[in-house]
Amino acid sequence: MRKAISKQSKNTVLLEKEKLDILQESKKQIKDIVQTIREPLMVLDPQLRITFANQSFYKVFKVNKKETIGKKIYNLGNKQWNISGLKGLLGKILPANKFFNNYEVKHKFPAIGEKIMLLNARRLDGVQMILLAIEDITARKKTEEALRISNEYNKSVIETIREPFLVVLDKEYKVVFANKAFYRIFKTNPKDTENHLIYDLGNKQWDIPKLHELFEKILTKGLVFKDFMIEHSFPKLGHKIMLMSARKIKEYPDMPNKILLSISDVTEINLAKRRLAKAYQDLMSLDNLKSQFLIMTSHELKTPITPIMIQAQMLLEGSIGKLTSEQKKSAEIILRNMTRLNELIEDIFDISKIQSNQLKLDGEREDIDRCISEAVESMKPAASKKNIRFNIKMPNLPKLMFDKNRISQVLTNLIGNAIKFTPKNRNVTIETLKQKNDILIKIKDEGVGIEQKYIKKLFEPFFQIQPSYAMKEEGTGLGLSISKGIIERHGGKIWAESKKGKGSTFFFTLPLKRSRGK
Amino acid sequence: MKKKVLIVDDEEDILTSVAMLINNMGYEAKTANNGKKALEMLKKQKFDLVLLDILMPGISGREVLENIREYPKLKNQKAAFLTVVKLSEYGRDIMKKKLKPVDYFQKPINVSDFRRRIKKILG
Repeated sequence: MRKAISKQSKNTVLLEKEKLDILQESKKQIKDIVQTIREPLMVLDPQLRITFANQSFYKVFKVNKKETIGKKIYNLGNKQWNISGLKGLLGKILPANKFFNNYEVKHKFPAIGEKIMLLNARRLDGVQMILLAIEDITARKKTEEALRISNEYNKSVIETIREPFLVVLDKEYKVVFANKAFYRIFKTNPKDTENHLIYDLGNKQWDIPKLHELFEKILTKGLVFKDFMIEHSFPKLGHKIMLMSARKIKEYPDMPNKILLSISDVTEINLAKRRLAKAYQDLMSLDNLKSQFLIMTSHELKTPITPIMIQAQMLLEGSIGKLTSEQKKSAEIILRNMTRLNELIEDIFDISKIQSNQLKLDGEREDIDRCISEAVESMKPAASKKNIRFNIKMPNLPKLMFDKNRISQVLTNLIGNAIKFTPKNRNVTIETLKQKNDILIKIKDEGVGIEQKYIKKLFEPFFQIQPSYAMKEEGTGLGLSISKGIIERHGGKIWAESKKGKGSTFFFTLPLKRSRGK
Repeated sequence: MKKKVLIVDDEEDILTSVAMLINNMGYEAKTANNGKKALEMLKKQKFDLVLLDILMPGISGREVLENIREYPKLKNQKAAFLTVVKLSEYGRDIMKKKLKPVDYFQKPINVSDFRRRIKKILG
């Protein structure tokens, strides 16, 4: 019996020994595993004394084996590990549960500073061990915090921008975030906006076909769109013209794409532009109307002038009866002033035609030399009054296509001016020159010259260097601008060159070949 | 026998003034203040020249001349325009084609120039 017992007890002892060996082996294996793990890890006994810690633990928490093994965890490093969070976990959760996962514990260690740790524990009852893994997530947390701050920063930038209005959408076009300006302009709030489909905003006011089109474009093709004009009548907000730009953005590297939509309200500026365009058109048609009015008026005015001038001329001729010298003087005054009135009307008529682009030319192939000679001839009486001689240099020129009456008008105007500004007993020089594509005509006076600042203005309607001068002499101040209109209508150019004190020269060209229709 | 000139214009004072000029030259002036009356007169009696205003209410001077040219008896009627419209504005084609006016006077006229050209037409 005893033998049997003894045998049995021997067996039991053997068994116990075997068991112990296996246990020791298991513990060793666990230690080996723990050692190879890169995260700080320790093995505690049920009394929470450290039986083993891996290299990583010593490294991260800057402690050595001697200070660690056999110590109760709370007493580690001069009770640095006396962490209330840890006490709760090990003292309450672990006795009740086999494990706990991912508990974040933040603790300021006097020696190594603040650490944020992620704690994981396993109660291994078979080997009477507690495995405690302490992941140092301080760096990761810092990065996350930096990202959060940067994100916050971006948001506040977006937030404070007055315009454009920014909306961040997720890939399903739901609003993640919109800035204050957006809420203000579109009279809405975050509650009715965030997490809502953009098309559904404001009772589907935003269900704009063109917006669908744009999003589909960028999302399917991965494109960016910029300054796309969308015009939409919002039931509540009224008609809006918006410039939209959108691009895909990422908040974090591994996050799905979002869409940053920027909306500029260009309603006012566009309406202003349209009003301006309309006003311009109105002005143009008004200007045209003015020209039409002047053209019509000048026709109407010539009707009463016609019989007055016939009568005055007949009186002067004596064909109605012989006049006394006083009567003759009276008729002369009537005729002279009617002639001047007629010229003024002609000028107004011409400038109206030119300005409304209606000046018609009556062209034939003509001799320009003869046209110049005739103009000079007609101006001789005026020149001889001041004893001004004409100095004419004309080579033989080919015939060209031009409106003889109109070119005579230009020549008379330019020669008339030259006489007007040339002092007594001096010369007016007229020269022609055949150039490659045109004929150049120069009319030079020996007057006081024109200041450079006036040179270009000379050809503007109603421009007079000395306004009062025009009142004494004949002229409306339209002569040069009419001449310009006539020459340009012929396809030529007109300009002046002058040096103060050295006289002025007026130039114009007439193309050798005039295009048809002009 | 004095040569006869018909003056057509809707403005009475122009009619009177031009008629004075024509009469003064030794011709006989008759007047019509609209196109319809002018055509009636032309069909009734012979005129050596008809001076036509263009812009008139009712039948225009151009239409009067077109009517004249369509009427066989008046096919060779001498006619000239006397108008405020510049020839270049009206278009030179009015001087060609079937209308064949003998001259084109622009209002207001220079009396001596007018006389010279009228004499040339009437001889």
